[in-house]
Amino acid sequence: MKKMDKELRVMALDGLAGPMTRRGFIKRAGAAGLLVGASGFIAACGGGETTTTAAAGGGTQELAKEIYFYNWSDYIAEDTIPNFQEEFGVKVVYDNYSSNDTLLAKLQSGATGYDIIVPTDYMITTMLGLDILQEIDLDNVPNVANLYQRFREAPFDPGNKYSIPWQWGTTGIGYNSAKVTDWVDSWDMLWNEAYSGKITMMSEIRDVFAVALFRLGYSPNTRDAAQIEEAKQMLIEQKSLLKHYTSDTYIDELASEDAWISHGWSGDVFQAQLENEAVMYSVPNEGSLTWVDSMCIPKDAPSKHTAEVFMNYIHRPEVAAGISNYVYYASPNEAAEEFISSEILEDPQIYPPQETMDKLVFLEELGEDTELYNTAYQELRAS
Amino acid sequence: MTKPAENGMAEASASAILGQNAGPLSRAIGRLRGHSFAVANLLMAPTMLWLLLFLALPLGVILVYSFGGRGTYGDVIYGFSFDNYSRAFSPLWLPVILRSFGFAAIATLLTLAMGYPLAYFIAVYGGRRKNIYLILVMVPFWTSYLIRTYSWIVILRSQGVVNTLLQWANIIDQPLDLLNTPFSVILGLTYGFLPFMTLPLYASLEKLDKSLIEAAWDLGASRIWALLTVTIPLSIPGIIAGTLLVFIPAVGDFVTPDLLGGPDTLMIGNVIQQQFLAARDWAYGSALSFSLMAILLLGIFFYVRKVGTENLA
Amino acid sequence: MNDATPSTIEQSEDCAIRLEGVTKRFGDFTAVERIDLRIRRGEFFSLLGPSGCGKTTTLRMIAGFEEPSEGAILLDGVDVARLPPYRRNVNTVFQNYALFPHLNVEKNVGFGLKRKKLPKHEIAARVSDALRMVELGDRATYKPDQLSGGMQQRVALARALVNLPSVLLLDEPLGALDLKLRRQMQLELKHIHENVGITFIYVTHDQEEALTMSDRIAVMNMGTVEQVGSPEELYESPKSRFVAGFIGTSNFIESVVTWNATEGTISLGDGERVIIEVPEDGSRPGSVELSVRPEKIRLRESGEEVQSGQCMLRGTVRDVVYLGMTTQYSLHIPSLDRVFNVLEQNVEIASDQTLWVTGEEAYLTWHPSHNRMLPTSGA
Repeated sequence: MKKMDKELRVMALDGLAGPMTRRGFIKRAGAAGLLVGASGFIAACGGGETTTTAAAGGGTQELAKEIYFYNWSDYIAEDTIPNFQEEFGVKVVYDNYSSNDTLLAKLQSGATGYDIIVPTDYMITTMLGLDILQEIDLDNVPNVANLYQRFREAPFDPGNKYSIPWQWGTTGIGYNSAKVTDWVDSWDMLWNEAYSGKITMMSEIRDVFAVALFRLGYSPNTRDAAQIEEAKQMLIEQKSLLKHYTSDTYIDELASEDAWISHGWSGDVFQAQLENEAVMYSVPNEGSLTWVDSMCIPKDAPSKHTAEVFMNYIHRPEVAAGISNYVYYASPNEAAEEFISSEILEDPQIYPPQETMDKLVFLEELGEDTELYNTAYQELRAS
Repeated sequence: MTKPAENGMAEASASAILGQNAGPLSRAIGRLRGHSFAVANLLMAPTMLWLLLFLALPLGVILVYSFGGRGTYGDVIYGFSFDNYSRAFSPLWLPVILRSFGFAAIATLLTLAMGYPLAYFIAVYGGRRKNIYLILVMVPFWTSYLIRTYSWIVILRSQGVVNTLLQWANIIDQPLDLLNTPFSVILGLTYGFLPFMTLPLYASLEKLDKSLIEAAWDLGASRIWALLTVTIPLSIPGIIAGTLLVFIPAVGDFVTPDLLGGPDTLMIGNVIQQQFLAARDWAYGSALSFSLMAILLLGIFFYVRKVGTENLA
Repeated sequence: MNDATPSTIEQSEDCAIRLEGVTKRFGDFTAVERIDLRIRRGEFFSLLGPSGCGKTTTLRMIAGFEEPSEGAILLDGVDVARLPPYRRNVNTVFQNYALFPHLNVEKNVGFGLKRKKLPKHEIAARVSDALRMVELGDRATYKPDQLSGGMQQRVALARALVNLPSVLLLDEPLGALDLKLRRQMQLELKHIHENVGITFIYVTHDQEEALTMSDRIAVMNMGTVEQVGSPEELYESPKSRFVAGFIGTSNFIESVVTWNATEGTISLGDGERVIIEVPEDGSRPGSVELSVRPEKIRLRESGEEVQSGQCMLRGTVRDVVYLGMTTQYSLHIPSLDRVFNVLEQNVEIASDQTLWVTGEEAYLTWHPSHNRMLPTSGA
C-alpha cells in the first residue's frame, strides 16, 4: 500500500507529496483520483478458516470469516491488520473514506455491510440521533480499561456505549515562523492585517465559527443567536485578509509558504512541518477544539462480535502504540504510552501539556440549533 | 410551470448536442412513427427505461426533497412547503448566482475563442493526423479532473512555475497573487472545459461541405469574409452545443472554485455542495438545485431560440 | 498530341483564357501534365474525359482552388495562376451546386455582388434579373433545401452569372439530374449561353452531352489533352484511338499495308479487303491502325453485291438489337478475330424483308473514305 501511494503521489506532483496523516489526506486522496480505489481495499490474505476464540467476558463464540472496516485514508499502521488476520484468522476488508460527510452520506444512502466505521465525536452524536449505531458489548472489549479517563467519559458518549476512540488531536494555528515575527498565542493572529492574503481558514462550518467564538470568549457550542451573529460579523471582517477557506490544501500552502498562517488540525500542520522546518503549531490561549475519531458499529453490521474482538485487539497497548508511531497522531490509549516513541510522546504538538489540555473543548452536536450556524455560515460566505 | 421550457429545451439541446440540425433525425423518427409505432417503441424501450431509472427517478426524489425540511440530525423530513424555494431565491445568493453566471460566461467565451481555431485547424488541415489531434485534445480527460486542477495550483502559486519564471526574467520583484483569485477560477474553468467546446465544434466543422467555402471564395469572398459569412454561420449547431456543454457544467462547478478560488469566488455549486455535505440540509440543497436548473433551462431555451433562429432561418 | 490545337486561333484578345504548359502534381501523382489550351471569348468549351483524366483538376486550377505546379493561366491576357479564387473574374457552378444552406435564394444569388459592395438597389435589380433569367423569379425567398434539384441547379447558375464573369466554369453541373431534366437543362444552358455571351468552360464525362452543347471540346485522358476540336471534327476525324473510342464507338483494324500508286490494301484473303486511301501528307506507312464508325458500314448477303473499290469483310452475326429507327448488330470477323459493331438504318426494311438473325453470315462493306488512320500506339 505504501509503495502504491508513493507512485500515485509522484503523479499528484511535487508539493502534494509526502507521507500523509488522516485529515490532510482528505482531498489529496481525491486529487490522486485513483488512490482511494487503488489502495482502498486491502484484501489481505489471512486464513479463511473460522476460528473459535474465548472472549474475555462471555463464553465461546464463533468469529466471522471476515469483517468490513471503513476508516479514514492512511490512518493505520502497516502491520495492524496483517497481524490481526494472522492471529485470529479473520480477513479484514479495509475500505477508506475522506470525510465525515462522505461517511454519513454513504451510510444514509443505504451502504450496508460495514462492521466498523470511525466517525468523529460530533458525528457520533449525529449518527445516534439518526439511530444508525448499535451498542457495543464492552465485555468483549476489556482493553477499554487502557484508555485515558477523559476518553471513557467523553461528552458525546460517556461510558463508551457506542464508540471506542481510535486517535485524537487538536485544532489550532499553523504558522511559518520565518515569516510571522509576532508571538503566536492568540486567535487574533488570524485577524492580523500585516499578513493579509497569507491567512487561510478551514471550511468546516462549526470549526470556522469556533475560532471567532473563542476569540469573543464564548463557547464554541453556543446556541445563542446573538453570539453567533457577533461571531459572523467578526468573520466577515476577516474575509478580506484571507487567501481562501480550505480544509486540506493549507498543508501544501504552509509548506510552500503560500500561506503563512493557517487555521488547521494539529496533525496536518505537523505534516507541513516535515516539509518545511519553519512551520510551527500553536493552540491559542483563548482555548480551542479537540476531536477524537472513534470506532463504532453500524446497526446493520453483519459481524458485531468479531468487530468487538477487533476493537479489543486495537487497544492492546503495543497495537495502539504502533498506530500512533505510524500516523503521528496521539493515542487515546494510556497504557500504550510506554510503547510510543518518545519523539511523539514528548512533542507538545501531539501530546499537549496539561494547561493546554484544560482549554480544549469538544464540538457538540446541537441538533436543530445547527441551523443557526448553517445560516450564519451561508451569510458569511455569500457576503 | 417549466413545462413549455422543458419541451423546447429537449428539442433544442438534442439538436445542439447532435451537432447538426435535427431535421433528418426527426424525419427518421417521424417515419418510424408512421410505419410502425410498435417497433419504434420497442427500440426506444431500453433508453426510456434507462432515462426513467437514472434521470427521472433521481430528479423526482430531489423534487420531493425540495419541498421537505431538515431534521434535527440532518435527515430529510418530508412535507410540502415552499420555504426552501423562498430561501433559495433570497437576495443573499444573488451576488453568488451573478458571479457563477459571469465566471461561466467568460470561461465559455474563452473556450470558444480558443476552441474554434483549434477545431477548425483539425477539421480542415488535420488530414491523416486528424485522429491523433483529436486524441491529444482528449488526453487531459485521461487524468482526474482534480489532478489537473491541482496542477494549476503548482503552476500559479507564489513559488510556482509562472512566478518563478517571471522573477527569474526580472519582470517582477514580488510574486504575483495569481492563485485564489477570480482569474485563477476562470482560468481553471476555461482549461477544464476546453475539450467540451472543441469536440462539438470539430464535429460541426468536419461535416461542413468544403465546396461551400470554395463557393464563397469563388464569389469574391476573402478567407476572413468566407469564415464570417459561411463557415461560422454553418457551424452554429456546434457553437450552440459547445457553449451549452461548457456553460452549464461551468455554472454549477464547485471543484474549481473550491481549489483555485479565494474567499470571494464562491459559486452556486459550492453553496449546493455545502447544503448536501457540510450543512446536511438536503431539502434546501435540492431546492437550490432545482431553482438553478429552472433558471438554466429558461436561459438555454431563449439562447437556443435566439442564436438558433437568427443564423439558421 | 498537345500540339493538336488548331493554329487558326491567333494569340489575340479573342482568347478569353489561355493555359500554357500547366502541370499539377499531388505528391508523386501527376494529375495534369503540360496542358496548353486556348479558349475563345464567348465560346462554349468542354473538357471531356473519363473520371481521373484531369479535367476537374484543370477546371479547379482555372477557378483558383488549386495552384498549378507549373505553367501559366492567362485570363484576359493576365496570368492568374497564383491568385486566390476571390481575385479572379471567374465564377463556378459546382457539381453539387454548393448553395449556402443558411441563405435564401435571393441572398445566395446576391452573395458575390454584395462582396463587390454594389449599391443595394443595384444588387436587388441584378439578382431579380438573374432569377428571372433562370425562371425562378417567384422563389427568391425560398431556402435551397425547399427547391428541387433542377431549381437548385438554376440558382447555382444564376449565382455565378449574376457576377458577369469573364469565364463561367461548370463542373459536371447536370450530373445529379435525371435524364429527362438533364436534356431540358442542356437546352436551357445552351440558350442562356447564347444570350449572355459569356465564355463557358464545361466539364463532363458524358460525350453525348459534350457533343450536344459545345462549340469545341478538349478530350482529356491521363492528365493530357488528346485532341481539341469541334464535335464534328472529333467524331469524323479522331486523331487518336482514345478519341475514336471515347467519342461514339469505332471498329478498329491494325494491320500491314501493301501500297501501290493510288492506294494501299490490307489483304485478308478470300476476297476480303480493306482499301486505304493515300493520306494527305503522302506518307505510306507499312502498318496502320484504322477506325471505322459503325454507321458507315453496310451489310450485304453476298460478296458479289459489293462494288470493287469498297472495303469488304465477312462476318457472322452475334447479336441483334432492334432500336426502331436503327438496328445495332455485332458481328464476329473471323479473319481479324474481332467483333465489329454495325448500325443499320431501318429504311430498307420492307414488309417482305427481315432483319439479320443471329448466326447468319454477312458481308460488311464501306467506302474507303470512311477509314480513319490513327497514329499507331508508340508513334
